[in-house]
Amino acid sequence: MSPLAFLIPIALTLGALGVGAFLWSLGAGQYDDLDGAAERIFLDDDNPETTDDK
Amino acid sequence: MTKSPHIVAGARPQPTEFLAAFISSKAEGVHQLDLLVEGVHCANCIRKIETHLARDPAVTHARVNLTLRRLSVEWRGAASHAELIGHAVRELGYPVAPYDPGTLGAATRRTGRELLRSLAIAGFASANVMMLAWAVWAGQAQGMPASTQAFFSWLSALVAVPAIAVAGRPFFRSAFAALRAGRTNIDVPIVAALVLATAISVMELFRDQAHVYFDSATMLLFVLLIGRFLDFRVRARSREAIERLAMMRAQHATVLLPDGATRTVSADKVEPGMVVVVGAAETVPVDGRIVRGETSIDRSAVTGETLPEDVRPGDEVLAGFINGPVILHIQASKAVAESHLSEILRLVEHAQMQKGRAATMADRLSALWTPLVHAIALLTLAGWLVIGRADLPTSLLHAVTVLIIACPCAIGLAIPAVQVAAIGGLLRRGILVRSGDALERLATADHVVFDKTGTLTDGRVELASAPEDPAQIRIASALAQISRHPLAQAIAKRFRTDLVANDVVDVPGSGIVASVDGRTARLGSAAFCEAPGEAPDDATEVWVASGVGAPARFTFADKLRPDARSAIAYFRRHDARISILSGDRPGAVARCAAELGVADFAGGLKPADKVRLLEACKASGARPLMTGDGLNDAPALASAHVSASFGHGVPASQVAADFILPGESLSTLVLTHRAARKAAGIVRQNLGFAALYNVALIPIAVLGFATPLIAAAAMSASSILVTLNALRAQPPKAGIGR
Repeated sequence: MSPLAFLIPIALTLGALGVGAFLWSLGAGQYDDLDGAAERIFLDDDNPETTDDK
Repeated sequence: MTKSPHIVAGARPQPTEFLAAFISSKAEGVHQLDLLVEGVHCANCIRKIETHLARDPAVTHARVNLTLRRLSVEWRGAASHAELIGHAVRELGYPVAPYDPGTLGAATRRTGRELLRSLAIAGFASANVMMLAWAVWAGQAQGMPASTQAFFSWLSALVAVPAIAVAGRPFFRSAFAALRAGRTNIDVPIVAALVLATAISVMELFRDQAHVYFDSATMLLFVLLIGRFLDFRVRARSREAIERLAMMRAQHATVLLPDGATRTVSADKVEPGMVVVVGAAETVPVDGRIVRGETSIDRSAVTGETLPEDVRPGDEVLAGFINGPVILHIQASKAVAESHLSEILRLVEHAQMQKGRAATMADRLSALWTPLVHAIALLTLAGWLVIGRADLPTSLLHAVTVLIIACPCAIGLAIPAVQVAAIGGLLRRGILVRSGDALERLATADHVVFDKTGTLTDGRVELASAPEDPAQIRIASALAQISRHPLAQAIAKRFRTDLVANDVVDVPGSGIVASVDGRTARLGSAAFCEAPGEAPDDATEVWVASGVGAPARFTFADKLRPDARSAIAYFRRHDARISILSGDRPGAVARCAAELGVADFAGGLKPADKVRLLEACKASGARPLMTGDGLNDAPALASAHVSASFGHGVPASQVAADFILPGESLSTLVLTHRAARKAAGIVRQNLGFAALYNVALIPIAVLGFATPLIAAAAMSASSILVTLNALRAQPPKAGIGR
């Protein structure tokens, strides 16, 4: 019984942290452009001078 | 600014001072603009646009949203810099249009965020409460001390009660709004089950009893929120696509200023009295009267008439007419606008009001279901109190269990899930669906009404017969090559010749005269060519007179869409009546109907006539599906049982229609109909399953055998089954099938 008394609150707190993080990312607009995020991973931004010539 | 001589020479004016109207200005000197961008689909497009704009020192922020295909730009300096930015993106090869969010956009965004937030909270709560509930159930089997079970139940309450209070708000709001208006909707029984299950569980906690339903309540909420969110998302995407269609085609007008310069403005900014310049083959942006220029104008998008009409200064033209080969100057006139477009819009509004909001299947079912279930719950309460001689809390518990078991989860999830799968699949094929219940209505349509021009035909004419004498054909072809008239172009397209016509004289409204091979030849109307006697029929015709033999005749017919025949055959196989209602001349409509084998047709109809015929059809018990693309079809589209328009149609017809089909083909209408029928079948299966489930489980709940474990298992099993079945509602493969 006694381990449960602190393990379960810890589990719930961690879960709540997860929800909090999700709500924050939602508010920060991270889900506004899912297709764009998938494509942007292909962009190299370390050499912006040469990126425009294609 | 461009001086008018350039305009007359045919240079297309740059749209200036147009985007500036859509800027939102933040702090001093900082402006922000949202642009719709066509043709962005990969990382390379993003890079091209963003790096190009980043080189402009004034631009402080430029970001492409690939999902919404929108570009957000911020810059410092003058507001007119917007035009340079728009120009720069256009130069890269991406057409842009200003994004006008309106008030709807912000509200949609807020609703979406709220649903997603509620979904996260409900998901967290249901997972954790279920974890605790399993511990209690396992503990009951293995002899867990009652104090530990109570501790777990209290923890569940701690998670579930706030979560339901927060995440249930979308349902609470909708249910209270319905109750306040004296109606019930699907959310009323949902809220009743949620609130009562939570309340009874809290009551049980205080009585130290084991029957708590927090897990069922949170899971119910989570599952229903999933349905609601998917439903919202697919609707928002459809509406977004429909609005985008209108915004990308927002009309610009080139206004001629008193000093001779021109300026491009948004068409709705044109005021009566302004003179608008319409270039060759451009769409007339506003209603008005011609002050300069003489041409033949294409009215098919507005009236459904295929053949162009000759207009001269003083004639009225309507927005949506397509100009011929010359430059027209039109004086905008409010009187003209009020006489035509507002008449159409009045008819559309009237039709929509008459129709009202059709009750959806979910509404009808819940109207039937809610009183029934609540009556059973009350009877359970009374039965346990009177016959079973139980105490009040126990009787209440059994009554609420009935509500939890019978909560219309299947209706709340099954219908939206099917619609989401079907609408989402159609959207991927480019077919836009305005609402979920449009699919229900399409599946029951039993009378298909087509407009002719632009729907069954592609709005062009093709040559039906030609003179037998090759010499005359050669001469006619030489004349036709220099004319811009669509009938002449149809001749020139069919017959090539190396003869050259000289000394051309264009006689507006009649034809052309020219010298070919040393002879004077005429191409035009019967009177113009001095054709002998009466025409044998009323077909669309052009005569040629060249001095070689008697004047000879070309006839023309509307060019049917290649899949018009198969689409009509498909609807015949489904026992639907077929009709053609057109604004074009009765003769042309009759020929088109004969070619398609349609017996029921009418031509020369005004917009109000079409509505009258559709109303008569509905009054006789039929459920008509109207398909049309013109402005004259808009009122009929609004009044029909269900309606479809085309992506190339005029905005008014798109606003009135339930479905917007892509491209130039009728096979998408067939595909949509097949998808709707398939979806309706799956909805029926799901509802049948839900009924079966309730018939089996409600007696168990009434008799008091439904423990929390049974409730949770039954609910998740039914939800999963219904959702999996709904996934089958993807539209069938393309093509015209059975």
